[in-house]
Amino acid sequence: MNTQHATRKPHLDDTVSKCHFALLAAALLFALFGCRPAWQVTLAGPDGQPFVVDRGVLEGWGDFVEEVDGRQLVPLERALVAGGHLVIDQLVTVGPDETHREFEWTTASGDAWWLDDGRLEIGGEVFPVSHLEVRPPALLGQAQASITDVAPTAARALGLPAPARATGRTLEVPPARHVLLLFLDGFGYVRYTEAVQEGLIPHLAALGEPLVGLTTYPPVTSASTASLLTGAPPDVHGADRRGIRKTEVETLFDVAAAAGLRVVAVEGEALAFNLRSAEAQLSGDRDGDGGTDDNVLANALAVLEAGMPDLFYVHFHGIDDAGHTYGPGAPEERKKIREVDAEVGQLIEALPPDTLVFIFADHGMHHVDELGRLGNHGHLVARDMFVPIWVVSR
Amino acid sequence: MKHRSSLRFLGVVVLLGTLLVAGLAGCGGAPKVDWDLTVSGAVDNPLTLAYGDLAKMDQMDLSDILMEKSLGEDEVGSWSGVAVDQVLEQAGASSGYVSVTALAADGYAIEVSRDELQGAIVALKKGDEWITEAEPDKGPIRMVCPQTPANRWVFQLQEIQVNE
Repeated sequence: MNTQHATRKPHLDDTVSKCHFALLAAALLFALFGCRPAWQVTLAGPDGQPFVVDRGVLEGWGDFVEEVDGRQLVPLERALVAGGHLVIDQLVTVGPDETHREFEWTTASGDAWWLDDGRLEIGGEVFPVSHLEVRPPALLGQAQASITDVAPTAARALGLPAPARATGRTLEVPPARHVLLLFLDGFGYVRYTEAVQEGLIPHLAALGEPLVGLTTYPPVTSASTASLLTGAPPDVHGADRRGIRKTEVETLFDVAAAAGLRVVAVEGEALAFNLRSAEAQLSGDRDGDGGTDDNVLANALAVLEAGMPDLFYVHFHGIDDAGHTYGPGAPEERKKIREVDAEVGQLIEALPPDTLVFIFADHGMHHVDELGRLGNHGHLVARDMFVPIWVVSR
Repeated sequence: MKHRSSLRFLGVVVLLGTLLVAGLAGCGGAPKVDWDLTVSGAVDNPLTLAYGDLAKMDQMDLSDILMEKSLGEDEVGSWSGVAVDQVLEQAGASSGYVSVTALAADGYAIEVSRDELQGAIVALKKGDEWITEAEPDKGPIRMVCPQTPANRWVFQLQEIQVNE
């Protein structure tokens, strides 16, 4: 009997322990999930395949949160990019009750957030969603190139291997003794088409039609420069948001310098991105005329006078500066586009033969009305994302 | 036994003294930071100033200075550090220099004109805190140029090149 009693008591204790354990587990689960109900939203990808966003996916974008009225929020665009979208014209949201909303992305993109309870906040309105669809601009169907194509293509022209992590395509180009990378900051493809119609850019227009190119997201100078030089997208080179000024990934400049080629970069007053492996020359506004493009041109012409480098990089900033301050299409911005066009003409005129020239922008510019600026960029909109890319043999 | 107690008492006193000295140093002295600032270009005496050297030089305060940011809200803050003029004088900068190029450890660089350098300092402190402790990713030293946009306030400052 004693033995039997002795064997039953542990069973009772076990049962009690199991109950305690189950209660504890339930309490733990409730604490973890009870106040934060699960949610799931489906985003239709460009190929029609669904991309699912849930709390775990959203938390994975923690590096991209921005402070909005004291709250830490994830920009909605991070989800749209993760879902495979390159550029957006309209966003359609479908709620659990089948309510449809349509947003013009040019106006909505600057104030569109994904809240951690699964709802969206766009333009101050908060609402639940179950499904998202994207309508791209028609111009996407004409896209021919990416800014990531420049590095592998330039490398091929110089007889070099592409940078190690490059994913861009290698375009068909002839071999060349020299390569010039001519960087027109902020001169997006949409603005280019307008400038042609306005007769602002005779020198660029004389080069023929550029390729319709796409930059990478976010369309800001540091990230785009990294994409340009590595031939890879931001999730590879790591400059995936504003403020990151260098990459550890191999660049075109690294490849060229390692092969013994001379690489020279003429910049404006500042190095927007780490241009290691290049002899970098800054061009401050030493004449005090309020811009640096004339200084950039003078320094670039001086470099050519001394002998064209194997790989030459020249960065004009004026169109971007004028676009931010006055807005795209403003008289001051139009004047700057004319000036830069003339400077491009002068530079191309001074190039030696057997030079392959890439002329491109890092991003475009769209209208805003913010404190202190009338133009900005950084969103998945046509004006920001499409860039012209000329590839011209001299 | 008495001898052993005395030794123990002495040990406690030494320990307390050490802690007191360390505490005082932590409160008032500059932190130990392995960082050099180089001054080169159009100078008679190219210089390398260690963080500790900068901390021992005369410190200048800039109070309620507007930091005009290209991204995010502008800030008003107070900074203290060594006058850039003093650093340039020590390096024997050319009297006719027109600008300096300030280079950061991460590769950022910017040319700042002589006019824009008026009143500029190599800051070690933001408010009452050492930058290296308050904003480790922006330190340990930062060029602060009052009344110029923040893109000239080079953080992780590593080199000043003087241009003629």
